[in-house]
Amino acid sequence: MDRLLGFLARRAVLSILLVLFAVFTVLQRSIFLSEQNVANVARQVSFNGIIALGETVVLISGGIDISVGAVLSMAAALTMKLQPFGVGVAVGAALLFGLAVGVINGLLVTKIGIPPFVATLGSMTVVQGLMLTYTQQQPIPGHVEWFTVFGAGSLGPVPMPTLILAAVAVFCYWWLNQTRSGRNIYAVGGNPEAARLAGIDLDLYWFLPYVFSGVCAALSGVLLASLLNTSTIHIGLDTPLAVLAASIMGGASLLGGRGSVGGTLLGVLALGMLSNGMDLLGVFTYYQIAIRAVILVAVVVIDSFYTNRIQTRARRQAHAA
Amino acid sequence: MSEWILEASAIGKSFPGVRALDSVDFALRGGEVHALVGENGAGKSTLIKILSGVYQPDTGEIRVDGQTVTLASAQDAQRLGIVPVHQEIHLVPLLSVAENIFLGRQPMRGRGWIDRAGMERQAAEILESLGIRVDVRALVTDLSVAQRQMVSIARALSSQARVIILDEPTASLSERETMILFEIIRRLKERGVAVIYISHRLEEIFVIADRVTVMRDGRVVGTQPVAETRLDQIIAKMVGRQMSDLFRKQEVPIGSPILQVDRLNAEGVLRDISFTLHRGEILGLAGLVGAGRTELARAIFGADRYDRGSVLLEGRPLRARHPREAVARGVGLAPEDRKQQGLIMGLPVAQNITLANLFRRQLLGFFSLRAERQTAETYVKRLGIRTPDVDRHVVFLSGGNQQRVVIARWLETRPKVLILDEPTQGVDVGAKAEIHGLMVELARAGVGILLISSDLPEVLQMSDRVIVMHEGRITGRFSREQATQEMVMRSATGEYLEIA
Amino acid sequence: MKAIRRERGQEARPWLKEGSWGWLRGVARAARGNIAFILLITIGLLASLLSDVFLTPQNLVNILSAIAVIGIISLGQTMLIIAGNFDMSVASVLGFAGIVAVATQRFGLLPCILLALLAGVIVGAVNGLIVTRAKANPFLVTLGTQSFVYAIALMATQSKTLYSEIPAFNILGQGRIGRIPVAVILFLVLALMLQIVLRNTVYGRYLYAIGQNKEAARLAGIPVDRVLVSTFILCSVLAALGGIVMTSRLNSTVANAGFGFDFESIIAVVLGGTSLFGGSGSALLTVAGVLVLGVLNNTTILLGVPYEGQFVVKGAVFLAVVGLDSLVKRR
Repeated sequence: MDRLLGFLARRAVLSILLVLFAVFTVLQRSIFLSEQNVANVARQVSFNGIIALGETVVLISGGIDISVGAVLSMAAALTMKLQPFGVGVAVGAALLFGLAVGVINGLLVTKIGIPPFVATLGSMTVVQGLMLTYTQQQPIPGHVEWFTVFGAGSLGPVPMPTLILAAVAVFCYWWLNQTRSGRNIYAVGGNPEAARLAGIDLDLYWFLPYVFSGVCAALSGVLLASLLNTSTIHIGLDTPLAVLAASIMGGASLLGGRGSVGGTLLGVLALGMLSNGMDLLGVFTYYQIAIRAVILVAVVVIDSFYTNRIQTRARRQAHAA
Repeated sequence: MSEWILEASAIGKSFPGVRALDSVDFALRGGEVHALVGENGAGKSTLIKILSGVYQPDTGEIRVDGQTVTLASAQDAQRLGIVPVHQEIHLVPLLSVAENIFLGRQPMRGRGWIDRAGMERQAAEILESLGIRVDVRALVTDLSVAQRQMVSIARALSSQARVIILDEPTASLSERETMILFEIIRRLKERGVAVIYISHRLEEIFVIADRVTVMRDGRVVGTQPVAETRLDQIIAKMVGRQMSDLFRKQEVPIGSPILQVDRLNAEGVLRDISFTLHRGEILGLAGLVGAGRTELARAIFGADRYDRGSVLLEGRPLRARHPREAVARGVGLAPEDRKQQGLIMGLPVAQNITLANLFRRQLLGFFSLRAERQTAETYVKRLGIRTPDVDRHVVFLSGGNQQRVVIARWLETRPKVLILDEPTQGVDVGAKAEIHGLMVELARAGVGILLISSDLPEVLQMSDRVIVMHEGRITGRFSREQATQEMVMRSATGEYLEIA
Repeated sequence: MKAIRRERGQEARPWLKEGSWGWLRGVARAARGNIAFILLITIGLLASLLSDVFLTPQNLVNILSAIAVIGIISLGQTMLIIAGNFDMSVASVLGFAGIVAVATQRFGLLPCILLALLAGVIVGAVNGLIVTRAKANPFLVTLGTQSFVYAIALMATQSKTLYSEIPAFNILGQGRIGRIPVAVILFLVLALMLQIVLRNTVYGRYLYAIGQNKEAARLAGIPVDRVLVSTFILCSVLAALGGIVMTSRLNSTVANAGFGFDFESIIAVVLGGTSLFGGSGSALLTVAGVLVLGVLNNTTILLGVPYEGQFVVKGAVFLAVVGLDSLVKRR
C-alpha cells in the first residue's frame, strides 16, 4: 500500500486524472462503465499505447522521438497500398519501413551527433513528405475484408489491438527489467558517465531505442489501417504529443533514466479515459485539443521542476564535498 | 612479486602556463591507507587523475605490481583495479543498489534473463563483508550521501578494485557516518585493498591512515608513517616554503567601510558569515576546497540565494536576487571558473570587456562598434592584454590574458567593490605580478577588494587583513602582521583562531 | 539545452578526432559558413539550365513574393535561435492572428491589425514565461502552445474560412510599389532592422551572449530571463505580422493557414548557416536561407515536381545542414 501511494505521489498529474475517472464514473456511470464503452476505450488507447511504449524506451535512454506520428501514417499507407501484393507483404513492408526509419534516427543521433529532437524533427518531415507523395494525398481504401480483424476484431471481450498492446507491453517489461540491455538503457540515460566507466557501449544503447520506437509506430500504423480499412493523411498528427504526455505522466523524464511500462500504460489509459469521458459528455473536439495541449505543457513543466530540483540538490551536495 | 601495488616515479605534468606536477614519486602497499595532503593547487587531484587514468603524465612511469603500465583512460585504470570512488560519477540514480554494484555485468540466468535474486544476494554479501547496512533493493536516489558513498565503495570492491581512491570522503558526513566509513576502510584493509585517502581534515589522518604524503607546489615534500609524525609537522610541510623574497604590496590608505556582511546564512553552505570590507582595502579570503568561499562570493553578488543575514553596500542594504542588481550598485565578481563563467569564449575581446557595462545604455539604443573597439583598445594598452586585435575571440588568448580581459570588464563598470575568485590561477608569473599591480592601483582608487585565493603566499603578500573559512564558517581573522602561513593553514583546517 | 547532456558522455565519438573521418570535419567547417550561398548558386544554376523561365524578372519577383511571409516569421525565429531557444508555435500564431485581424475588422483597419499583433504578444509572453520560469524544454512547451492556440483558432472559426471585408486591408498582401510587392519590402526592411539590432544594440549583444553561455551572461549582470521572454514575444509578434500579411494577400484566413511554417522557419534559419545550438547567426544569413527555400520551391514548381516532394527535399536538406553543423560542433 505504501509503495502504491509513493508511486502515485510521484505522478501527480496521473493521480489527478484518476480522480477525473471517478468524476466521469459518477456523471455518466451507466455509459462510462458499460462493457461496450470499456472495450471501446481499450481499443482506442491501444494504438497510442503501443507507440507510447516505444517512446518510453527512447525517453529512458535520454532521447526523444517525434517522428512516430509520421511513421504511423506511412506504415498505414504502405499496408493499404501494398495489399494487392498480399497482406503479409504489405504488413512486412510497413514494419520494415518503421525499422529503417528507426535505424536512420539512431544513426543520426549517435554517429552524426544531431540532438535527438532536431534529428527526429527532420526525419519526421521527410517521412511526412514520403507519405504525401506515396498517397498523392488521397485516402487508400483496403480490399481484404479479413484484414480488419486485427484492428476491429475482438477475442472474447478483449479487442485485438489491446491483446497486441499487452504482448508488446510484456515484451517491453521483460526487456527493460529482466535483461542486461534493458538495464543498460536505464544506465546510459540516467548517468552516461557511470555507464561508460562500467564499460557499457553508450552508442549502442542510445541507438537501439529508436529502432524499437520505429517498429512500434509502424506496428500501430498497421493496426490502425486494419481498423479503419483505409488510410488517410490525417492520422498521426497528434501522436507525438499524446505519447510524450502519456510517457512523462507515467514517470518518464526528458532528461532520461526514468520511465516504466506500467506508468506509461496508466498514462495512456488516463488520456484515453479523458478523451472518452469528454466525448460522452459531449465536449466539443476543439476543446479536447485545447485540454490535451494544456495537459502536455503541464506535464512538461512539472517534469522540469522535478528534475531541476534534483539537479540543484545534487549540485549542493557535491559542493559540500 | 613487488611489495608495492602501485608506484609512480618521477611523474611530471604541465598544463598551459602551469607546472602541476614536478618529479613526483609515490608508492602504495597492499592493505595500507595512504593519506595524501596538501593545500589547494598542491597537485593532489592532478596526481590522482594521473593514477586513475584520466590524465596522462608528460614524464615518468607508473607501475602496477612492479610492471610498468600505460593508463590511457579511466577504463584502463579500472581494469587494473585502480578505482576512484565518486558517487556522482559512478552511480545511476534510478537503479537499485544491487544493480549499481553490478552495473553492466549483472549475473545472468540462462540466456537473456538477469538473475535478480542471485544479484541481490551477491550484493548483500559484499555489503555485509564491509559492514554496510543498506537495503540492496533501495534506489540510489533515495539514499543519503553517506550511503551512496558506501555503495560506490562496494561497487569498486565488487569490480575487483585493489586501489580505492577517496577524495574528501567525509566532507558531508556526520561524525557517526564518518566512524562507519572508517570501519569500512578497515575492512578493506583486511582484504588487502589499498586506499589513497585525500582529506584536509588532518585529525582524521591520525585515526585512519598508515602513512602520509605531503605535497606542495606540485612536488612531494615528504612521505612518512603517520605514527612518526605530528600535526604541526604536517602543516609545516604543507606551507613551509621559502618566503625570503616576500614582496609585500605597498601600503594604501584604508578608508571607511564600504561592504558590511552580517550573519549571512545559507543552508548547508554558509554559517553566520560576518565581516567588513573598507575602501582601498584588500581583504584576503583563504580556505581549502569546500570551505564555502566561492559560495559566499556568489551570495553577495546575487548569483545564489541565501537564507538569512544582510549585506550593506555604502550603508544601504544590498539584497541582490540577480547579479544585475549587484552590478548596478557597483559590485563586480570575477568567478573562479574563468572559461565557463567569467568570459564568453565565443565572443571577441572587445565584446567581453563591455558586456557587464551595457546595462547603462538604452536597450535598443544604437551603439557604435568603433567606439567599443576603441574602449577595448584602451584597456589592452593599460592592462597589457596580449592579443593581435580586439576582435579576436577570447578563447584564443592565454590564461593570463584572459584574466586580464575579465579584470578589464569589471574595471569598465567602475566598481566600488570587486570580488576576485582565484584571479591568478593558471596564470604565468609575469602576468601574476601585473595583476597584483592592478589590484593595488584599484585599491588606491578607493575600491574595496575581496581576494579569494588558495595561493597562500599571494594572500599574505596582497592582503591588508585575512579571514579564513572552513566548512562554511569563518575560523580565522588576522591582521597583516599576524598572518603567517601556518596560522592561516591551521584555521583553514578547522582551528578557531580569531585574533584580529 | 540538450547539448549539455551530450557532454556527459564526451568520449562517445573519439573516431571523429582523427583518422579517415577527420577530413569530413574540415569540409563541414568550410561549408557551414557559406552554406546558403553555395546552395543558392548551385540550385540557381541548375534551375536556369533546366528552365527558360527561371531568370525572368517576373519569376524572380514571384520568388520574392512567395517568401515574404515565411521570411518575416523566420526573422523572429532567428532571434530566438541565436538566444538558444525555439518557437514551434509560430504556425498556429500565424493563423490565429489572421483570424483576429479579420474578426475585428469592424473596429477599423488600424485597431484590427494592432489586436492581431497583440494576440502575438500574449502567446509569446506565455511561451517565454513558461520556458524561463520552469526552465522547461522550449520545443515541447511551444508545441503545446501551438496545439492550444490552434484549438482556439478552430473554435473561433468553427473550421470555416473567414473573409476579409475592408479593401484597405489588402494593401499589405497585395499592394505593390513599382514592380515589388509591399510584403517583400516589409520583409527586407524588417530584415535590415533586425540586422542592425543584432549587431549594434545592447539587446542584440545580449542575445548572442545568452545563446553562447547562459550562465556566464547571467554573471555579467545580463537579465537573462527578461531578455528571453521579450524575445519570445517578438518572435510571436513577427509570426502574427506574417499572419496579417498572408490574410491580406489571400483576402481570407483559416485556422490552419500556417501549417508547416514552424518547421519551414527553422529550416530557413538553418539553411542560412545559423547554428541550432545558438550563439551565432544574423538576419542576413536568414534572408539567404529564406531565399534558398524560395528558389527551391520555385524550381520544383517550374520543373513540375509535385508539391509533396518538397517536404522530402526540405527535410533531407535540413538534416544534411544540421548534420554538418553537429559534426563540426560536437567533439
